[in-house]
Amino acid sequence: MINPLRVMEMAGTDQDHIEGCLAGRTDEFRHLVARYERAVFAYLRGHLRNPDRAQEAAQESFVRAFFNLAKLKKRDSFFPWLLGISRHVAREIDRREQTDMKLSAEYLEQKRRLTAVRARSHGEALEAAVSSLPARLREVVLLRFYADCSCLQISERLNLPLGTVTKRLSRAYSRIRKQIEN
Amino acid sequence: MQGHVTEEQLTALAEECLADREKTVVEEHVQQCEWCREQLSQIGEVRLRLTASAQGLELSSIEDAVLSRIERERQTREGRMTAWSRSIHLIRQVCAGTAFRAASISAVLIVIVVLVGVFYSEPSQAWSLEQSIEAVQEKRGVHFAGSLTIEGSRVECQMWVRGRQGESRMQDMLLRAENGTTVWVSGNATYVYIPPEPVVYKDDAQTAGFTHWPGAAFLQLLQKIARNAEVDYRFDLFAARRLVVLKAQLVDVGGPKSFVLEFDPSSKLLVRLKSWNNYDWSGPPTFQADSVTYLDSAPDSLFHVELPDGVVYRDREVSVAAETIGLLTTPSSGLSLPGLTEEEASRKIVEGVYTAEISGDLAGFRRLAPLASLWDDEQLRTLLAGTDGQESVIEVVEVGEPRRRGRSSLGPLIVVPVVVRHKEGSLYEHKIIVQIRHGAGRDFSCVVYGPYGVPYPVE
Repeated sequence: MINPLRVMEMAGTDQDHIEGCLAGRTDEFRHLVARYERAVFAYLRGHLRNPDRAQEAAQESFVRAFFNLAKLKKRDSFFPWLLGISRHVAREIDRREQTDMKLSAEYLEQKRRLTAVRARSHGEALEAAVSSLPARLREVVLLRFYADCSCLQISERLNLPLGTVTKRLSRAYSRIRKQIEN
Repeated sequence: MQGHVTEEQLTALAEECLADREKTVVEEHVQQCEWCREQLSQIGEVRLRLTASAQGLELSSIEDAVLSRIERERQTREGRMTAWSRSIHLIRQVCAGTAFRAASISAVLIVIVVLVGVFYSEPSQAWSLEQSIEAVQEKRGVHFAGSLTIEGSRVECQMWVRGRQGESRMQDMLLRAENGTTVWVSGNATYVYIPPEPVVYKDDAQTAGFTHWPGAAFLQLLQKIARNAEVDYRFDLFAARRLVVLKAQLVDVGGPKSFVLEFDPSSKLLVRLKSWNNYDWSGPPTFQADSVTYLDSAPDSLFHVELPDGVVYRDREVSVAAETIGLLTTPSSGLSLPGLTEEEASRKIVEGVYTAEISGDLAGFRRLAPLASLWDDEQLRTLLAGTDGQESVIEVVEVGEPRRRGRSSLGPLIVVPVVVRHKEGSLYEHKIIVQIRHGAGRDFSCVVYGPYGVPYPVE
């Protein structure tokens, strides 16, 4: 879980830290990484089903986000925007690997093994279920469980009414439950 | 309570988000209703699994790795930077605000042509820079036909550029997009009109298009300052010709850029190009020219602009690129001049930067104008003085009245006009942007950001 001392250090808003980075204080990006690294990693692991690749993709996502911060128009929407970048990175990795693998005779065998591994791992199955949620539902689940935010904090961070947050969580739980049962 | 409570209410109960009164009602119902208890239990099960999954997530913090990668990437990008000029050549004024999207596109082309220099300077190619210079020697203008990407939508556009008679500099530029967006340079001013807003925004400097039109002298200049490119070949099935493809990336003061340019080996000329405002050619190109045609003549009628009745003209605020703010805040840069007003300090620092340039003090120049640290000494000298040294400043004739023209997150931006004499004897007006940096209380310091537009000859 997140270290409480770290949470205190991370007290500034996303917008504060983004402004700091844009003003040349690169170190402020550290706070944003600390705040969202677990959520991004969980999402990517669910998508890529490989912890090493997920960690590499998470780093890549943050680096790309840093160099594109100036393009982020709504600075209070950093997390959804970051997830968008992560999705893009994950797809690039998928495409690259699929291309490579299709050229290989081992393609079908690897695919079969991946499916088997995925079925064995409950944690990753759960993360895969979270990753396959629609973006709006996925954001709240990742913030709630992997970034350790309360519903109230999520509503502030995503600028949503509290009722909308609980409604989205409710729909997300329902979908995750069905997916796991299947 | 009749029936059951909703799933949203059960979730809110599990998340402890219900108001006291509603919580009591829902809890009482759940106690009496087996079906709702089962639903609540299932929600609890999912929450428990998610909590366990999050707690079991094995991730050592990636903070240090990310910060270190950012630093490495930044160094790599800065090493590739090519396109900024203090006084003359390759200005890229950042077109901030929605009204200036199109202007920023045309400004991108300044950078694109930088890369032509690299391409022609490749010794392994089947032609030389001299051949290319020869090929454009008699040309007077260029026409581009293609498209812009504006807020995710592709908009067809055309652009014309004309060189000044007897000189290598750009005289006029006109960009027309199918949605009515029009950007043009005329005299020492740049105009942007994006309908339906009945306003033309004006810069009183040449801030879009090319500084030197893409003719012979420009190629010579570019050969000296450009870096970083990869060359490949492809066969164009439609035109039945072999094309040379150049892919390149760079970062300029406006942020990362990537390009694909195609050249016809027989004519030696650029025939197609695409550019992106990112570093990896991702997404739709910001600008795409499906055809590039060099013109033997470029009459005035090409640059005639008609606007609807009732359009009003407004000055556009000056801005600085967000990506450059870091360099502008370098503590060792700039000047603090206690007792002077911001305008007086702006004049002083501009005088200082010209003194450094005239005396060849590049370290002093970089201290006052820190963006110049993006280039090595040789590049900077070329940017300041031109390929033959004739454009170097030898005398400051007059420093004009500073004007506040905008602000950045650091403080006000002041434009200082300066009339200077170039080595070849002519007088030019330069306009320099000074960034005022506000500290605690009334303290401030200032730093030179860069040129506002390109030098313009004084009649």
